[in-house]
Amino acid sequence: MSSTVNIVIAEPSGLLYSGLASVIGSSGKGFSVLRAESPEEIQRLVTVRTVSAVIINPGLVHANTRIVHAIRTSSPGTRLIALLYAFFDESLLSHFDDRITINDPPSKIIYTLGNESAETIPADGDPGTAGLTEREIEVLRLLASGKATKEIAEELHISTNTVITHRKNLSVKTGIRSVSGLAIYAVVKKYITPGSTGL
Amino acid sequence: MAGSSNLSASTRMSEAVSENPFLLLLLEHLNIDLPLQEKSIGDVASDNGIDRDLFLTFVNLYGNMNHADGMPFTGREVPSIIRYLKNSHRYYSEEVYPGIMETISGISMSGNSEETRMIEKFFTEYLAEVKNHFDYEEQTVFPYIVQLNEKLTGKNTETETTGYSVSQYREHHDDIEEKLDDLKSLLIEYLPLKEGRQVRRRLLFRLYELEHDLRIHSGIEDHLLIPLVASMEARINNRN
Repeated sequence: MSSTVNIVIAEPSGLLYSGLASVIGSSGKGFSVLRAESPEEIQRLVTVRTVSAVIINPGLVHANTRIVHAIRTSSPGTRLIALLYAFFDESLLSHFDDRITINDPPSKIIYTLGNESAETIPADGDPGTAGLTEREIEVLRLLASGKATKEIAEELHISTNTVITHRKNLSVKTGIRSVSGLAIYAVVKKYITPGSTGL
Repeated sequence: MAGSSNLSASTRMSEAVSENPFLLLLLEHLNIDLPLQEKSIGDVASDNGIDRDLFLTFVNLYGNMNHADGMPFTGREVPSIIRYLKNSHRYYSEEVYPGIMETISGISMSGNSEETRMIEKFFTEYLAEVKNHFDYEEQTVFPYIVQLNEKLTGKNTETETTGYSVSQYREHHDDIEEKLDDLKSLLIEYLPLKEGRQVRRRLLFRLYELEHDLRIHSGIEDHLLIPLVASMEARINNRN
């Protein structure tokens, strides 16, 4: 996949914008970052270009959630990600598909964006994500990269039992039980690059 | 699958084979050659030195997968069961797996994508696991069962069989069907292949054929061999 994936960032703070843009721009995943100063500008950008995801400071839309619907109508394939650095009401966050926080490591941010680009740019009639949750995808990536259950639990700060539950759900949803089978699934679905698997 | 009702010992063997061609594999695994002439299932068993009830159980397992739980086997059937299992190991190792590997390698060379390379590696790993499983059975489990049988029939009372028991076999009995299922799911649901449909269908047909025979193989081990050996062990323990 050599085409670039457009990501719009709508964040008033120049410092936060530059930091995020730098993390996303240097990920090597072919992301191209565009900046929007206002919700109206987001709507304009998603209309004139193919935008995979918009990272939005929820403060920009909290007084006018109708604009969120307008953005969705303009570009149904674009995912909306809330950028969190303060507390926002859950009812406001429910308008978003996903969330990242300013404390997230760059890998987590790229990860979240990567999921969406894989979803919005399906390869070879790709049927989608089998309804995997973000967390399941995280576990899938780590499993596929050869990490053991305990290591995954430590990395995600969850219990080994939770990892095992995610693993079971992955198998139920994908129909694949072995780790090496799941690794091939992860590559086919472009959740990971072949070089990063344990295979 | 054909042959869903249980057959009797008087059924003509050739009819049973016409009804369910997979029985050709059963005959092969028991070193029984065609032609079958007019022989009944019972005749084929007797002519080849196989317990009639055991052979009929095998035939019906091929037809409808009915478990053989509760069959009154005593131990004299052990050589036939082991012959069957060893021959089917050989059939998988020398014929089925190389055929599947060849098909996968063909895809891998022409498609040359990273996914097909991974499939090749996946199958190689699976083969290594299967080989371990077969080696363990042939080098540890089968000799133990043969010794146990010899001890029970008084052929060899000297051999010490303690230190091993069929419960260890049960634990070691890994599910070698898991990866096979995964491979089918990947081919049917997820894997894009540059190479055409025919090669994917060929590979899937080979996998289904293997799966069918492996399922019977596992059924014989789990529902026939393991309970039989457990009862043989109990008889020896009661004697001591």
